[in-house]
Amino acid sequence: MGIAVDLATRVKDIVGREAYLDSPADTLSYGFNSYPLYTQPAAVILFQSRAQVEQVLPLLYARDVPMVIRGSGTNVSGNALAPPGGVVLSLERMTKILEVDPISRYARVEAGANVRSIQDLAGQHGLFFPPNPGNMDAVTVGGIIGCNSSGDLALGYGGTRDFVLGMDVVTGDGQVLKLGSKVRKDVTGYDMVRLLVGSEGTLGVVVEATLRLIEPPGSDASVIATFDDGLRGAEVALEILSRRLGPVALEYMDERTTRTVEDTFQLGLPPGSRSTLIARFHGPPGAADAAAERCRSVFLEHRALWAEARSGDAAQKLWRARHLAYPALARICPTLFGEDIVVPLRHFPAAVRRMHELGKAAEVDIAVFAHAGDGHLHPLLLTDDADPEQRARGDRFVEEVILYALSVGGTITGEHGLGVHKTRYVGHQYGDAERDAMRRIKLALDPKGLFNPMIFPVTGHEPKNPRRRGVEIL
Amino acid sequence: MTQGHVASSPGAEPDRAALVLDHSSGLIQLRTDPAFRNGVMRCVRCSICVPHCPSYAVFRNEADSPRGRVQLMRAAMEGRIAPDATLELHLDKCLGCRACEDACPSGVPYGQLLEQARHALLPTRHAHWRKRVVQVFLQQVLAKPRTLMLISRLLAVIQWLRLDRLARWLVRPVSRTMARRLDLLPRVAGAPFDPQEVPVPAQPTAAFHAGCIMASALGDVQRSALRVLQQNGHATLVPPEQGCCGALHQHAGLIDDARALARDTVAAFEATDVPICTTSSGCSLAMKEYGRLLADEPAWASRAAAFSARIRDLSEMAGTAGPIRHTKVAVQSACHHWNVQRLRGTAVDVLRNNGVDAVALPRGAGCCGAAGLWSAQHPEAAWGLLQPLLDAIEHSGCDVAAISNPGCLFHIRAGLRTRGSKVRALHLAEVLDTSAPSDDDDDDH
Repeated sequence: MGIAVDLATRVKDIVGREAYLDSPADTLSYGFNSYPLYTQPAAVILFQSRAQVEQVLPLLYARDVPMVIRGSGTNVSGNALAPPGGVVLSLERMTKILEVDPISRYARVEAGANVRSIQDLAGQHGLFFPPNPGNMDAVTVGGIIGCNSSGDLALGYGGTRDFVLGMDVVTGDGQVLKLGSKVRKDVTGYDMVRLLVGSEGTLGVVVEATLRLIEPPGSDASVIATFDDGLRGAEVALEILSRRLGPVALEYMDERTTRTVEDTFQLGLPPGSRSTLIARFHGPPGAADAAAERCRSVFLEHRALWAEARSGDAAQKLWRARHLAYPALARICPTLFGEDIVVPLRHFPAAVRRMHELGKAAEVDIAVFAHAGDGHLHPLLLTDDADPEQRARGDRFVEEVILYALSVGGTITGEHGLGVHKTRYVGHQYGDAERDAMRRIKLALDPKGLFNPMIFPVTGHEPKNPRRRGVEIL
Repeated sequence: MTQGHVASSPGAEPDRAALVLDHSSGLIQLRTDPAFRNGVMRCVRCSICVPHCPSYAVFRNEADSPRGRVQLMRAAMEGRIAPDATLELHLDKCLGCRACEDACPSGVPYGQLLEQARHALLPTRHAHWRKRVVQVFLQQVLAKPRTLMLISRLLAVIQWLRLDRLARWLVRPVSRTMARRLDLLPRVAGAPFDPQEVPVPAQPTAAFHAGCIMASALGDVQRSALRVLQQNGHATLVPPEQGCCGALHQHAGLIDDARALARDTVAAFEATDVPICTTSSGCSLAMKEYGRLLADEPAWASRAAAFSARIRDLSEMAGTAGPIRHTKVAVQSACHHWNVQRLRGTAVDVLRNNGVDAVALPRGAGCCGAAGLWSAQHPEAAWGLLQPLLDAIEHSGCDVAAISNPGCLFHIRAGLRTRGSKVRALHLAEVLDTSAPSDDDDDDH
């Protein structure tokens, strides 16, 4: 089943035949992300330019076609899964970097531009773009804007939200909203830019963004330490923060993650390592190395099994291993599934312990790594979805994790977004009044509720949210 | 074929009623093969591989990325999709460079999965004639040294008479693609190399794999390689019974043929246990993986593993043998050296050790676009992938580019020739050979 023939013909006239996909093999290829759930979109449109988006969007909107916007499909909560009869609007071909102004310190880019290429370009102009989600070579600007995903430098620099100055958004009627500006200080009207960042493609199609670039650090050094106890790493993380050493990133890995990362990337961790902490320091020339050395001493003071400062290529290898911990854990099990809770810092060590207790109680295998400096935990469920019992136990674990995060004043998602996975849990965090306020905002920009309807249902006619339970015909 | 909209938890038993299945499809049979099943299940769709994929770079479609292809294989295996012509086309567009496998943190054995999937899809009627032509070429030409020699000589005559240029001139107004294909046609260089022309040494210290295309179309390169080995003090044995290693058969999914050729090759080299030198990165990767290819054959598994452990690239066996005629050389890294084998920089090192100013060429999209028979099947895309490399070669300030794989060498030569470039593409063996009679005949300028 595709979209209506006359509509498809008009879309093809605009984007070209090759850029309109409706064969099963093609649409299946756009029916998945990194989240373990598949859908089969009715069609996929590969946009080449914003002009095409502006022309096509009103056609689809007028005919009530549900839509989902997709960059490189790296999300892990099912944030870009097409609903039944829905169309995937792929921005992966809109990769242009339109303008870099090194004096005003901004870059204007198309939504499909790759984050690594922006960082490289900023570097060539002697500037720096800090957001660094794990899979930087693949992720798009539109993707990190959609989920406000930021990576480990969020501790030192803030999230993606803090680096978006302005954006052009195409709405269902083909209007272009030019939100924000090219400057950092701007309080004209409501802060629509910050609203759009993290809205997961539910309000409109961000086709262009103006990104803030900053001065790069004069020095960069990292320290890695391992501990012979799974929890000590989490406790020492708080100690590092209380000593005011000022890390820009502080990452924790539990025993299972530590072991897998070592097996996969051979970092040279000593045997018996049951948890790992990695800290990163930026500063004026020379300052980062001094801070890293002080941090190393604190690690050793707190009975680290081993601690080593690294910079240059060795540090890069370290961070690459940390960034790839998630897919590396796939070596252990067929289905991998990452949670994304944030807790107030004082609860961080207890939260790590709690995750393992919950895993044990639900009889599921888990691994935990965390952006410790932000109290941001990624408990990973290592499971096999082919086994219905394992799946049920996994669902129980997820629910418990979410309830725990909320019980200590945290949130159910820090950077992965709701996706189809967590929409059903929003009611745990927000009451009717808050959800109604959000619903009214959604309807103001998307009156028919056609943008990513499975994530933010508003009209009541949306397809029911698929649960991770076998096959569902939506 | 039409499908319902299906949201399924991967790995779960699909709802049969909602799906149109082709139970005769080999891909659905592969669900019972633990190696294949575990291989595809390892992919968590993280997309780390996608930016490393040259076919994604050129087609910019998820289905032409490694992640997309693995998911297509999996969907067909699980019966969520019928293996139709579009699916086959996407699997077919893979160059087989295996950069994805190298990048994959989850350890998805992509190369093996692709071979198994292509094997399973051989009997389908999609792209029947294309598959048939490839099959006939691989089985009746490449695997038969005499036929290959004959065709190679015929091609040499055609090229000497410039009939290929005439054909291109005639075809150009009718089909750009066909004209591009003729542009990229391998050019025979020198008389074919016959293993029997090398005397058998009493105490061999190295063995030499002559190959099929290397021996028939690049005979002079093989003679150069043998001289390089000699200049480095090796007494080289060239077993006369050897033939094609079966790499291209394996890539095309002709696994039974690949195994037969692998067994023949292993047997041909068992007279000694000295290192085996190769001049083709594609062959050396295939031969290094004979252990895996023949793992299920008890009589051959250990023999194949022992053989694989002996394989060396020429750059690993060449030392500092004397003054090299070229002062500045651009060095290309072939995919099959860079990926999986991880032979990175050995050619640059050996040239630098010989006093050459060696410039490592950037890897660009990761592949020059030759990829065995790929450039003949997708000439325009192959041409597109080649351009950034040609730019880099021309901007390197070198008058010679050193290449370590026959497919890349033909492809890059064709590109430079079509551009009218002054830079000459030579095989690394020809660059290292200090006593080559003259390299005027080595390429086709």
